[in-house]
Amino acid sequence: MFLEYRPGTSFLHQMDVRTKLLVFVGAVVLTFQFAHPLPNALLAVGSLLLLPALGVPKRQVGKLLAPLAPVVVLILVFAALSRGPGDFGSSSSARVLVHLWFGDGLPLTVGGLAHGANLGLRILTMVCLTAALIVSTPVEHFVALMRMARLPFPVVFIVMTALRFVPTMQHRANQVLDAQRARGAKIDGGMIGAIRAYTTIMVPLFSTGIRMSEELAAAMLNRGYGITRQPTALTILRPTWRDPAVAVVTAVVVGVVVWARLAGWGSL
Amino acid sequence: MTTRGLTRAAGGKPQGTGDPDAVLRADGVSFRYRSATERQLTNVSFQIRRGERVAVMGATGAGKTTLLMMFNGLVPHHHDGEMHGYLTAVGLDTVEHDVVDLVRHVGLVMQDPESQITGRLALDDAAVGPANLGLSRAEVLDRARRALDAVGLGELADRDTGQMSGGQQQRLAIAGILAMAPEILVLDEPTSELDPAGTAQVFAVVEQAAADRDRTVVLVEHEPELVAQWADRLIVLHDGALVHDGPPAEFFTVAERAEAVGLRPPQVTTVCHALQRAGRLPADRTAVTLDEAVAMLQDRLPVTARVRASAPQPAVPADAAVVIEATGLGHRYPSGVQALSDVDVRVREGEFVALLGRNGAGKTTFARHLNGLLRPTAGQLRVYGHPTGDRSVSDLATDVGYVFQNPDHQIFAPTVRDEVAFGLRNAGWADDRIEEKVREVLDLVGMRAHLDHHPFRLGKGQRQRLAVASVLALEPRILIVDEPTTGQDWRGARAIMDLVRELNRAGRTILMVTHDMPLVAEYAHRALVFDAGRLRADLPVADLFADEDLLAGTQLVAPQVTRLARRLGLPPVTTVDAFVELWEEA
Repeated sequence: MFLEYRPGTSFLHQMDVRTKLLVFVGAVVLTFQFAHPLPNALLAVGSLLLLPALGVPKRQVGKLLAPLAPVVVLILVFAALSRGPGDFGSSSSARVLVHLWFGDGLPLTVGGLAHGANLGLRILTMVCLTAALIVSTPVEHFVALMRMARLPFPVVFIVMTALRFVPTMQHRANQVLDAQRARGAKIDGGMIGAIRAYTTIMVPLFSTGIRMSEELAAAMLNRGYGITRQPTALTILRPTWRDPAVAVVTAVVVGVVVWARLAGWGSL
Repeated sequence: MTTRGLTRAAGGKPQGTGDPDAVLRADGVSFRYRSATERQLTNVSFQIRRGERVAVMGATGAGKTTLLMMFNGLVPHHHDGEMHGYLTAVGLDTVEHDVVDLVRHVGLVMQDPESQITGRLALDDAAVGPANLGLSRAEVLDRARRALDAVGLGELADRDTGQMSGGQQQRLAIAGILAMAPEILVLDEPTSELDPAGTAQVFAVVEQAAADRDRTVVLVEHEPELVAQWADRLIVLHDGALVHDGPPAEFFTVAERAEAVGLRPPQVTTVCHALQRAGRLPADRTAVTLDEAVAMLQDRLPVTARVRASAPQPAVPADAAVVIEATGLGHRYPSGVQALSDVDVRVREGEFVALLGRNGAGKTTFARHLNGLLRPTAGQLRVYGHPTGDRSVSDLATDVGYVFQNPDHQIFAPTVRDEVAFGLRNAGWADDRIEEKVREVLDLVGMRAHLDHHPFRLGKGQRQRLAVASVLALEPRILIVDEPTTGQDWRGARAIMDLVRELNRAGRTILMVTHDMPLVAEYAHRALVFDAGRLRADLPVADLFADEDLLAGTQLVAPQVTRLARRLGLPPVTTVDAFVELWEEA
């Protein structure tokens, strides 16, 4: 499921992309600080709630998260079972809830379950935050940031173009899909149907994609690509009062949590 | 000589200085792409002066696009190959000067606007060219804004380019080039996918761009009516050779000339030719524009012709079975856009129906309901008496065939045979029956000889026929054709339409989505006119073109021959044949 920038006037929309990236990194650092799943759950729920707040329809949020569900469950199960009672210092964490195999095999401990939950919640937080970042930030701001970072223009151009053409390719893919379905291709017929339909979709998609890339290359030359090494930058990032405020809050929160963690709080 | 790996066959520089006002000059230009065996252009010479408005015409594969790409050096610098002769743009040799030098002077707008737009917002996109010129930010934005104003998109500077209509995207593509302030503007079929209103807007923009700074404009266009109206000069290519270079009238007035190179003259010219053959017009009197035709024919008008009613259109019997029935049909896309509302319509077996309306009017949305690609969000649609909502797309495919606009969106198989067999395999046919059916269908579209060929080695016209064949294989009794002639030259368009007409005569019900009004007039019986998601009118084609208020309200344009008849005070006939018949009977 591809997410696109959604124009809006929310607090997040009005933040500078650099501040948003700082918050993102801060939040990721935070997810690694807590051994107890509750703070991570709060972070995950908070990140998840950001999406409807940014105007993403609930159905689209569902589509974004649905493919993650099996991955998160598997991680939770494997991580939970990978730690035995001996791996934990505290007795409450080492407490065995149930043995999943005969005798004393595959002990499921409180600590193991917390560990698995933490891993799953971390993934959920990161996915939701990435989505929030994409949904609230126009491509031009990422481009401006890359140019400020003095990345070579061809690299910036590749990223910019790739992002610009994702919806176009998605549109083409839908056209191909419709054309094949109209000839009776049973594309909706589960996993096997999807695999069988793969060539019928990928061949036309590649052929139109290659043609489009040829045309794009020619179109860029037509518009003077290559005349200067550094074309004029059009978007200038302008921080507002929000940005230093958010940056300070982020730094303080992350600093306090990391300090607390180093001081020995919150370990299992 | 060789320049940066390019080869230009040895030969002297062109003799003589030529016209001092020439901004484009070709001397014996030939070109063969590296991967091709045949030359794309052969010994082409001409000179184009500052401020001229030049149209380039020719059948598919005549070399038009290659010639245009030579003007700014894309050929031979980007698409390399073997070049002979000399081509200069504003005095710069296009082999010795690279694309980056030439694009400052020659702006090329290519065919598909979607693949030329790189900005998210209209203003950003229009600014790409000036930004590449390295101008200051203020200058870049100023140029971009002025270019958007020039193409009538000034109000939409902050519009997401993905949300723009085809016509707006095309004008944006032109703005992107105008922002670079080239002395020469070159456009490759800028209106091929646009509705009549979009086409008129693009031509108005081109007109303005030509007037501005005495700019030279070179334009490839398929519509002879537009060319005759707009161009000072017409260059015609045929199999890579230049076969005409002069005023459009000089070319079109000789009936055989256009026919010989696979082009169609303007409808008014065809009328003149027919009247000449009937002895109703002297052989030396002919017209290529509507105004000329009106001026010439109004004094010769047979009096009785003024009172005759229009010829009745062929239609199906009133008791023919209803095969499509929409009741209160509505569709709202997940994005919230209400694309279709309250459509009530019945289509009978054997009808040939044109689905008309401007871009975004709802005609394609309606068509996609017929084979289940879209499901009604309100009301009901029945095909052969059964609600489409109860049937899968693959099941409906055996009743309703859908030929999409671009055949390349469906072709995937390594042979023509496999491509046609695809639908049959999906439907679970036995192999021996599949082979039999494939041969039968390929016979029908005249492609039996290509059974084992690779589809991508076929020309565009043949790929379109292959797409039709692959849909016909499932024996659908209803056939939907979506813009069947886009990107085809006149002969290709006729061939595909004659095939569709044959299928209709054999009893199939045809629904055709199109912007091409002469095509509607010639082939369809009935028109469903959509406007803002509603069915605005449901009437015989002849009545549609007779209703000026309806045409104006839905931004449709009657065929040129209908406008001619109307201007002469005649009944609004819709085809050249009907016009001539009217005249002859008088």
